[in-house]
Amino acid sequence: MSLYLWFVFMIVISFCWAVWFIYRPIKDNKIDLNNSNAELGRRKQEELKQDLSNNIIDMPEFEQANIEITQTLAQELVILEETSIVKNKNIYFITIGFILLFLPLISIGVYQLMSPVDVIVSTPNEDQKTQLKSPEKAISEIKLHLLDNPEDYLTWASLASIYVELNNFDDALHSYEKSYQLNSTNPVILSEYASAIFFTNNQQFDQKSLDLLKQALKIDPNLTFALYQIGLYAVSNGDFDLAKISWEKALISMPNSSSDRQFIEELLLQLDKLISEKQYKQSKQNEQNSFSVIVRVSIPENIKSERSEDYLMIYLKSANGRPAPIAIKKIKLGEFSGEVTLTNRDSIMSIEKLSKLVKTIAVARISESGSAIRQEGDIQVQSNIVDIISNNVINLKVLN
Amino acid sequence: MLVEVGHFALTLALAFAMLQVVIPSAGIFYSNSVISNLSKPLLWGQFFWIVVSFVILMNAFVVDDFSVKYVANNSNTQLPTIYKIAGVWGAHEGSLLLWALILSAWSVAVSFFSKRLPSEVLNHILIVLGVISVGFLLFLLFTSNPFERLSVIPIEGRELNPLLQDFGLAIHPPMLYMGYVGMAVPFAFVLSSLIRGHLDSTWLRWSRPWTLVAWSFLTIGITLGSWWAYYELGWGGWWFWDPVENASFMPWLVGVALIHSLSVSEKRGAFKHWTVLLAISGFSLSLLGTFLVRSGILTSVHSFASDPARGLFILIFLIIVVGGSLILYAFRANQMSSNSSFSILSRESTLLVNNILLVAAMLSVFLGTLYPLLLDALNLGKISVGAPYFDAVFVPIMVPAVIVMAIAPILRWKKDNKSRLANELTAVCIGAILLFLVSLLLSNNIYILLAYFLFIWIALHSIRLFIQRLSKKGSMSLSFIGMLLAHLGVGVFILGATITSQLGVERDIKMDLNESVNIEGYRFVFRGVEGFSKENYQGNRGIVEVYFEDEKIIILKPEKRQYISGMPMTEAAIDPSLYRDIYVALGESLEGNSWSLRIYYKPLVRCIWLGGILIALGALLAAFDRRYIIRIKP
Repeated sequence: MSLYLWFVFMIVISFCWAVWFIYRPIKDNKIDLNNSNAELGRRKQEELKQDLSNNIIDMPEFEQANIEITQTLAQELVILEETSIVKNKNIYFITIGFILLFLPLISIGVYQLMSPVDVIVSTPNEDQKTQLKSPEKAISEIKLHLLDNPEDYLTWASLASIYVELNNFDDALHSYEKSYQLNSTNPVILSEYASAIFFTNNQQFDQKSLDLLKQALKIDPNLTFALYQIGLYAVSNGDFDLAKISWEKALISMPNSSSDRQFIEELLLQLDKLISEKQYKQSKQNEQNSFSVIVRVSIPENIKSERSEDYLMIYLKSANGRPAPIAIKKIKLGEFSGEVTLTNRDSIMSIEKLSKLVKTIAVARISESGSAIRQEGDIQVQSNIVDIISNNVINLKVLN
Repeated sequence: MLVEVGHFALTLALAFAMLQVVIPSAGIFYSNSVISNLSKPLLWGQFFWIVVSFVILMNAFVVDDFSVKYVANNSNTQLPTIYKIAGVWGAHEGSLLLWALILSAWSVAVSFFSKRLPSEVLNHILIVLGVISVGFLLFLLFTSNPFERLSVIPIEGRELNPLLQDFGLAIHPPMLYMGYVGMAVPFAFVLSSLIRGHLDSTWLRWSRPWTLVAWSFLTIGITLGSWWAYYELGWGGWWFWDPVENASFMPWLVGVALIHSLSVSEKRGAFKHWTVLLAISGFSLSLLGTFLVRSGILTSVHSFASDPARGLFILIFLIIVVGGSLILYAFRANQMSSNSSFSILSRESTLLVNNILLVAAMLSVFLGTLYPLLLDALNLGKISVGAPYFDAVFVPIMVPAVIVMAIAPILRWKKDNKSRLANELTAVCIGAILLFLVSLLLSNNIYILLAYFLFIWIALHSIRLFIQRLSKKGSMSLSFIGMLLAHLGVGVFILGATITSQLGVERDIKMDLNESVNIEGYRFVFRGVEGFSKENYQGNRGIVEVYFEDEKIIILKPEKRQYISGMPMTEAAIDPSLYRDIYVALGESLEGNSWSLRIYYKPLVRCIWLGGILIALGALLAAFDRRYIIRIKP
């Protein structure tokens, strides 16, 4: 069923639904406001008695509350207007007429106002009529045509595109291949064929799809769809520059009125963000990797030989922050060469990098246990406050 | 084509909503019950077409129809089906559609379960609900159309925000919306009464169960949100005074006040003005919450749902709703007379005090949330209002409210006397003081002692009331049990929130392979990290063995995920229990085999959500009390 008929069908159902309840009205529940308030007043009095028996109101207040309930009810009782059941039939015809006009007017009007595609009002031409046919019917008609005209590569391509719409990519591939074998010079079909391969191949571009795209662009270097796909391929390979060139070219090739422009522009905006993020990360990485602090520790030989199996922990901590280490190196004393170089890689927390430190204190500790907390028997020395931006070499001396 | 059908179904729903307003109004004007009673079928028609469009949008997600812009922006082929379905309300357009669906579902529920209401009253209520539906459907169709097509169909969609790829998302927003939108029902009851000019017992009695159910859903929604934030955001917190959290908390506070105010108005005829204003404020704050979330003027973890352009529409709608309601109230206020009188020492007075405290608490949250925006808008500088402000202002208001809350059910209606009250309170006070003295042995932290005291205070009063009623045959009602449960829930919540924030331990540490660390008697041994991959993400999974008294109790596997979009996510591993949670989150890879880890010990954290569940359950039980179910005889 075409979209047009669907809408008509939906409006008709809606209309019938609303009108049915004029023909078979919903019965009034016969409770009028006075009934309701009187009944509720009576219940409030019963609940009040229950409150009295539950000991949550005293007798004098109970009596007063009882009077108040009666007074409230007296105020609430009103003269009600009688509602008619069926007296003036005109009102029903007017209502039906109103619904009949209002439903299609509002629904189609709002839909038209918002939908860029002129679906309802325009009379479909012959091509559109073909498009409005159900895909299954269109396939069988095209197949009949192909039985008589098996060399019609354009029809094979049309069949393939219908299969794509139905997400039947296997049959789409078969049809595109037929079309390709008959004529491999139509760039649009080549790029569509590449797209179908992409979908059947777990959304990856393989060599064949790439070759098809290159072939299409060789024939028409400004083919938007092929450029768009090449851009996608480039992004998936991290080649943002190629993607940018392809999509910018696609944008230039498009007419200004094209509705696809906005989409490509959005893609380009996202791509720019990716590129700038990548560049920023790269520069940050370079900057951080190059930052280092050298700590030289002079240790008497007798300590070195006696405690060669102990751990030497050298760390930097903030001079005016919390006492926890920012960056640390822990090695066996026997393996210590006289100095260590601390870099961002030695930072304990990723959010507190060594390169963010300015004023620091260097600490060297020789410990048998290697525990983070200082133990009895540990030897520890520390530097004065050092500005590591101006001086990245710190000397420490362990005394006997 | 199906998508166009869905879109058209939405426009038909709009047409039905408009008819739901116009035709019954004409019926009422001409005193014709057949025409005015058309409000119900027109509402059902509206509901049907919204369901159709919702199902079609859901189908577009499930079948990966990336020709739909909303689907392409919020889903991809690798997303598990459950998150494709949840993705329907994962961003602005879909969540607005869900909003419209829930509003019409509430309206349908009112039309079916209000057999005790006079038809005339019900028709007025459905007309008001219809007006609200028209507003939201217009907003949906003209600014947030979820069925918009893309002319170039992307081969793969983007991604649903990884934060939202969680079971919590599947249930948190619908529950919250049930509460938010549910506040429209008491609002519609009040507004219909103001329109009719009959501010009588009927609206007071029959709006209370709806208010209770809506507020119960709001409680569940907020509790689920808190639980979701706790385990999903990787911060280990349960409430951040985030502006969007506050946006849902404000109608909740007003909802508490409204429920209690309604109970006095319904039973004793007092506080009618107060009740009307609270019902209007409740829904207005719900709309304000929507405005804050949708406009993008607030920055928060909820910023995934923001859009400045759309905020204007909601703001205009908010002004119309609040302004219109208040003008109507001004015209009808003189019709609300009360015969009720009560003394200072009475249940009515304590409920009034609590109402005032609750509204003051709401205003403190309101101020803290909107003041920075106001300053910014007036170019008076940028300030940030965070937890220190809310802790300093909100908590002191709520402490007396909780103390009064426990006493109110003991007091008698209209008038009580001091000597009786003193007798009533003596035993509980002695018990509370004794237990409080025992608790002094457990802690010297002032906040914890206060929490112990409040919990003991509420629990003893609740137990005493329960025992008192048990001894009287036929005096136990669902409403009473619900009240006790909800009050007890508040006590449990206070205990959990205070203990976890005061005694919780949080450690950010670097751990080498096989290195161990001791926290609160538990030994955590880091056994390294393994790689893994799932349909829509891959990542690393840490292995942390937890020992207690040298016995291995659990292996926790916190994850660091990398989603298709490239967004990294932390998935904490939690060993839950009623007494404590052990919470481990995997940080960054450091040199060699070492990693940074975040380890939390959270005592009684589950009490926070248990409290929330008890409160919601209490409200639900009260809503199904016998007196709201008995039919009125015609």
